[in-house]
Amino acid sequence: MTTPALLEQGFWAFLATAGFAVLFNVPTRMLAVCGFTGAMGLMWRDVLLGAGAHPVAATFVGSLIVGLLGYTQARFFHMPRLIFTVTGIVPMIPGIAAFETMVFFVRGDVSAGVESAVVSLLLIGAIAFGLVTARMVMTLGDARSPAPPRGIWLREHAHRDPDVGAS
Amino acid sequence: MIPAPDTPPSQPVQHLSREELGELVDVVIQVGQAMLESGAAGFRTEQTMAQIGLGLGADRVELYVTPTGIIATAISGHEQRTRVGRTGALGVNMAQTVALNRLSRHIALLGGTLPAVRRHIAAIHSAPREQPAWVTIPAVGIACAAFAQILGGDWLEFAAAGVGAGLAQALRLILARLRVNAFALTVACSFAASLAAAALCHALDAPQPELAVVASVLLMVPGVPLVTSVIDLSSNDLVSGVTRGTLAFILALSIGIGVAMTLWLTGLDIVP
Repeated sequence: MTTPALLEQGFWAFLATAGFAVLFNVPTRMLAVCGFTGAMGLMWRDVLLGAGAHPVAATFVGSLIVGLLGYTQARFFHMPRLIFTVTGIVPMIPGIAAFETMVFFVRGDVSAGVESAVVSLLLIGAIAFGLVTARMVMTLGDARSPAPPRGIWLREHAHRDPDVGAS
Repeated sequence: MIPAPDTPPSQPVQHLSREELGELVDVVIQVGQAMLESGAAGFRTEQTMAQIGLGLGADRVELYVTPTGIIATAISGHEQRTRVGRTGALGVNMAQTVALNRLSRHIALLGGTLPAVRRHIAAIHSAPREQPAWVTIPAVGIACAAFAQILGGDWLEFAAAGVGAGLAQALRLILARLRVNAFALTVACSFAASLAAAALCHALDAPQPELAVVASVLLMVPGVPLVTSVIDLSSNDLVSGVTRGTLAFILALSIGIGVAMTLWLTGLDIVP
């Protein structure tokens, strides 16, 4: 993929992500940050696709990048990580594959429909696992944040930095 | 934390009365409902509730949070109160999540009083959206139109997808105000968006109408429940994860129904 084409993709991904951030009611001053995250994720995916990677692997890496960026930005801006990751993965949603599933089923071509359904499920799974992997990497060996026994919260849990280990 | 040796003990341990504790649990449940209704994951919701409960003076808070309901107990001294709260429709409102999270952090560090926190929560509830409708509708239109470009379309598809998505967002705002069921709303909006995009592509004679149709319905994609579902599952919160995953699946199916209706109406002539 040529550099201008890549930058063009990044530009559209920026617009798409920022627009979705408006839809999700993200605080206005974070819109550009969300757009940047989305653009980075899609551009990395495109670079890998151009280098011959499998779409699922490329999407996984793109989503991993979004997760890692989201983690950093959450710490830097003191915001929940969700607002960066949820908007950041939006450009990678497998719209075409999902649409083809629908088309094939409406046509009555079930086997082709199942095929594209599996493709879109794999791509969605790659996005999800990318985010989960980013979280695993960032909390690996983080001894400062031992998870409290789920559901029971005592005084000493209250002052912990909420960005650590949370989503 | 070990206090410096020559400072006097800060204050004697004070327990909350039964009435105060009841009100505290009520506030904690309100916070949890607001977090869930604005799209927060289970762990984040639980943490915010606990920080507010402990910051307001409870010794111990026990929580069970699912996307449809909350059980909360607060304990102080020998008193304990338990309440159950149901949640309303699960939506997405990131600004509300951010504001509640900031409030909980503030209370965890500095403490607070019940009336003040109640006032604060009411203010967060009644805060207007970050952008008015006349900004949101074109922003969503441009976002979906940008998708037509990402998927490999050109300016004709860009225009068609933008108009379709903008129309769908306007329709969604109207239907949401009429309190239409979320699934019916999704079917109606994706039908309107895809039909408008397909019709416009037909009128403009666009070469790849399927891209415009795909891009125009992307605003309905349940991205937030999908991602929070995986977050919940990965933090071992299976009940929340499966619930949100099912919600996302049914919403995706509703989009499919809306698009299928368009495909049927247009006689499948927009198929790749």
